[in-house]
Amino acid sequence: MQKMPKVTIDNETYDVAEGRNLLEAILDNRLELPYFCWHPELGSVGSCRLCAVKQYRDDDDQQGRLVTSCMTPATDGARISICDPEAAEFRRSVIEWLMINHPHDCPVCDEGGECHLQDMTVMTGHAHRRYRGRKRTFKNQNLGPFIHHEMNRCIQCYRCVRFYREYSAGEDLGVFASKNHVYFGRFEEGALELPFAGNLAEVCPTGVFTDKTQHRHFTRKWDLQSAPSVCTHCGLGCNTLPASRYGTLRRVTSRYNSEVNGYWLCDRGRFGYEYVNGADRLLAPASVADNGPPPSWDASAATIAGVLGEARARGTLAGVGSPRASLEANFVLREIVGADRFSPGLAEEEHRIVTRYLEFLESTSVRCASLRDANSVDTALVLGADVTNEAPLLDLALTQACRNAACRLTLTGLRRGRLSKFAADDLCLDPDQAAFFGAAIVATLRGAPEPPEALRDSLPPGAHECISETTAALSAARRPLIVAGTSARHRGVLEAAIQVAQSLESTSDGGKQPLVSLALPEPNTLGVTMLDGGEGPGLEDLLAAVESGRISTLIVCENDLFRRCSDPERLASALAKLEALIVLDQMETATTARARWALPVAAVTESSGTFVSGEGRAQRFFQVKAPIGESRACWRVLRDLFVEGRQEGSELAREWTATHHVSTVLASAHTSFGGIDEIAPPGDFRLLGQRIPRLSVRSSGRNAMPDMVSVRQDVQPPEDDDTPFAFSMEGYQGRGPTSLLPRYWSPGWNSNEAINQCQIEVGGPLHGGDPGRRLIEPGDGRTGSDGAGLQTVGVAAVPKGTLKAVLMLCGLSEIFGSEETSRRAPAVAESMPQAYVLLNPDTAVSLGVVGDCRYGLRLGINDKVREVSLTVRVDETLPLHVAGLPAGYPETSWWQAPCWATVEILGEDKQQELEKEQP
Amino acid sequence: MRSLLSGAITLLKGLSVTFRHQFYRRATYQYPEERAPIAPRNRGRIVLTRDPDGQGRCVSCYLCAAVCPVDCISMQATEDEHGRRYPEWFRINFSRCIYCGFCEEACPTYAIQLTPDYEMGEYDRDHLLYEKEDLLISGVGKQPEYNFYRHSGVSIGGKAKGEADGEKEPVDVRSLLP
Ligand code: SF4
Ligand code: SF4
Ligand code: SF4
Ligand code: SF4
Ligand code: FES
Repeated sequence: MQKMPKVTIDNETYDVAEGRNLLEAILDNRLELPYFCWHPELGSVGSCRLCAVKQYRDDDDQQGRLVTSCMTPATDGARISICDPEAAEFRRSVIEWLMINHPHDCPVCDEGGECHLQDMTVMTGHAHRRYRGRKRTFKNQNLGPFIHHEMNRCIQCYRCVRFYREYSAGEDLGVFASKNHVYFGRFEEGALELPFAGNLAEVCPTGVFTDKTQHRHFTRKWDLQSAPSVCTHCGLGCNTLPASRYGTLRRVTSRYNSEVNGYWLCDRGRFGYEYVNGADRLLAPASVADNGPPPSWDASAATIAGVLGEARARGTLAGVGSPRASLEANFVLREIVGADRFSPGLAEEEHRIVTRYLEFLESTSVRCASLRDANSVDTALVLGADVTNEAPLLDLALTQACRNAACRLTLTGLRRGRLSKFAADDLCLDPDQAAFFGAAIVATLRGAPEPPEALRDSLPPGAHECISETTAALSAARRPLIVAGTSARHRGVLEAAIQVAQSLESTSDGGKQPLVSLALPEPNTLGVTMLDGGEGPGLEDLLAAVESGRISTLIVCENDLFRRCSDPERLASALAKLEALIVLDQMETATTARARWALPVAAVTESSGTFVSGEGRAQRFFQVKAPIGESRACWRVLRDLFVEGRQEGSELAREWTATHHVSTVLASAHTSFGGIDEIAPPGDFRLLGQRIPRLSVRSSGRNAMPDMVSVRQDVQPPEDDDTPFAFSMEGYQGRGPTSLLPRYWSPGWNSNEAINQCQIEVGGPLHGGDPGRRLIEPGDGRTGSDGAGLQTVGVAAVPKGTLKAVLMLCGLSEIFGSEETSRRAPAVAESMPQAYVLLNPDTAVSLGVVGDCRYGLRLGINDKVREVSLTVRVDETLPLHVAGLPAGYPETSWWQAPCWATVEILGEDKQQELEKEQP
Repeated sequence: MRSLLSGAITLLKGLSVTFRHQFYRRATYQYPEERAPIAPRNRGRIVLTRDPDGQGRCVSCYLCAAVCPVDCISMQATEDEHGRRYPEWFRINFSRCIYCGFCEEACPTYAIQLTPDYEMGEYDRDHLLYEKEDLLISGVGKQPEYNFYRHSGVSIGGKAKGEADGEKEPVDVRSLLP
């Protein structure tokens, strides 16, 4: 093993990892040194000079000289002093100079209490502003619904622009003016365009950029009640720290995980949380039959268990799980209805795609990429996916790959986007073409001299060169990554992606690690598909069974079927035929509106459980706050129904009193979930006999809370069997395992920079390993399929006739709008586009429409006609024959998979009429 | 014999003190008819004061709540449309307050102040929950001059950027002048 460099700091000798600078060496060894501008991910720029230390030439040097430690490499034998009086005085002066212009804002500043500037001021010992001159001021900008701007507080560390422009390749935030007038903002006022802008609130060490959603219901960090959780707004499984106060959720910040999201979150994940506080949450069990007072939980449970039992006996019961419910909830539901009656609740095409992907992962030695893997790939091929909108943080990871590793990127999405500026090849292809493109690459990789003619002809001109160049790059790459998406809803695309990865694997000489990634839309899409294991019916089959009367009782768990089904009218009439529809959900949906019983269940932040992310990583989330109203954790409601129903196997369920009981049963019942009971300590885990407090020791006001009924305070904090956390500030005060960190704090480090104290090496993995466990690791002896399955599933042939008005309807994912829960959060709702149809400008001209106006459209799909009113938008990068519709919008929920349609523009009065009818 | 004598003398001495006190002024106050003079800095009932412009001083910074050793203060911050932050509601549970005065010391705006009023007896403990309406007085209390928003850099209705005490005009970012 290589010898580690040794550095002498204040006469003590420390080991330091190779390639670190002095500041990192100091922090790695848990010593304290103030800093501002250095950031583990953004690197050093030496702009603040706060990290100054004394460096000595050798043992004889008594004089030393001041150096900025973040700009000085930690070489073997270096001798430095942190405590040297001259260095300490210099650092104090740096703060004093900054404070000359710093406003008297702490009491009204959202950063106060978690402000890195406050911490550093205290650490350096500066206390009195001696300067008596006037302070410089700036005007603020309105930066949209996510980020609050208060420019007076800036200390010119340049972290914001380094994050925004260098790290994330954003363009609309910059630094203006010169000398002590430098200004960090936009060229002109307006919403920030970067979908990761929320991270500014975390990288900015002061209160210049703060979370605007938190601003509206402001709470100090020390008062927030928090627990580790997992983001529910896409399938990447970013780790989060949601925080609540007085029973409502107040903010979400990122939870560091070096394997997954690192320090970051996307804006959908950060600002989508407010749906939890929404007015459309279900609060109490409701039953349409009774017009009287709402039924109680116990009464409903008994009645419903009876209904379920009867239906089960008759064989007419089925259950629909959900990709946004925990594994535990899905598992209990599956136990109730039986494996062959449990549908995972994915849209038909999506279900097939994910099942196929899973089958591939389980049989191949291609590795399913983590976000960290994606950071360092050298070639990436994105097939028919819109990474920025479907899997936002994967976009940020690929940005790093392109920036650092000079990754060669090929994009084949429907339209150009954020990543296009890095792309070596950027073809705008419809899903069919993307599949052909992939298939052509497979053919070339497998040694065909030319891609088959049939494939070539269907691609636009110029694609041919791209194919050969991309193929060459992929074969030469050491870490090639193939990305596909689910929102294209096209099996051919996935099949092509799989085959490219597999061909790369089989032609590899061993030094190559091909990676795949499938962008999944929901937090547990992979988990619920793994649980289903292909045994249960898809939604189409289920619908047919309901229509034919074979199924007459349906229990739906956290799923809005109207988002999954391409024929809402058919679905509605099928649901109407049911004898009983029982829906458990967090909020009102089109499905709960039709339910015989609608039972309120807790949101993710209000319950505990396990999600399996698209990477195959099982991650535990913990309850942050008490469930709203009378809602209960979904798995618990189902367990009660299970026990109440007294069916076979339900005696055991009596023992399931905590989430980890279910996880343990699941881990032993399904081999693919082996070990999920060990990914985090169970609910009865204690440290020195104590729970871990969800509240900080500094938390205030517990004797004057608004929900206090009487000053006698005879109400105890709620019991919690599911987690090792307490709804209290009392408990174990040391630092527990890193998978159980409810907040980042360390003495003297109140800001989120305290995270540095939790990592083995600053910027590296957490002590005790990053939370979560990968369930699917590439096996060695696996062979994978040989490409026989590469049938390009084409979109049914173009209907003959007036070709001009025949367009392929394709789904476009929107980071703000396509995801079901986040679109109910006010800040996200403000950022999402209105329901639209996206056309190429030339297509728009030929249809006689102009952009940004609303039109009535008559669409002929197969033999059905659908009339809608949508805003026409134009994008010149969209293929001519495509009409893009936003995925996940109630207005376009009838679109589930690419299809050809005749498009006709309706008159204005017809449009007005449609406008009135629409949801 | 000797000890008997000294015992009797001490007894008489003590009795003489008692006897003499018959002619002293009475120390007991016949409360509530009579009241003891209370120093103005005596720590009693807490109030929220207003700034010299007549607006509530509290900016809802949560510092008093954080410092309170018995956690008897809670509030929720909110903001008016011009950016002035104030407590939407503010509550002190006087059945817990120990009148330590820490809140007053922590308050950066001189909003929360302890007054000499100690007469807070109640028959019902729930009446000891004081809301913002009960706490807010119409005067400035101690530090009559102080107005936090005149010093702070945030703009509020009636005070734009650069108009606070000791502030320069806002920087013109597009100016090329040195
Ligand atoms: S940025 Fe920090 S130091 Fe400055 S006003 Fe805000 S809390 Fe105070
Ligand atoms: S705005 Fe914040 S991050 Fe940017 S330079 Fe100023 S203090 Fe640093
Ligand atoms: S006087 Fe002391 S106990 Fe009473 S509210 Fe203030 S800080 Fe709390
Ligand atoms: S410390 Fe003062 S300004 Fe801050 S919340 Fe308390 S009373 Fe209001
Ligand atoms: S942290 Fe080293 S100069 Fe800013």
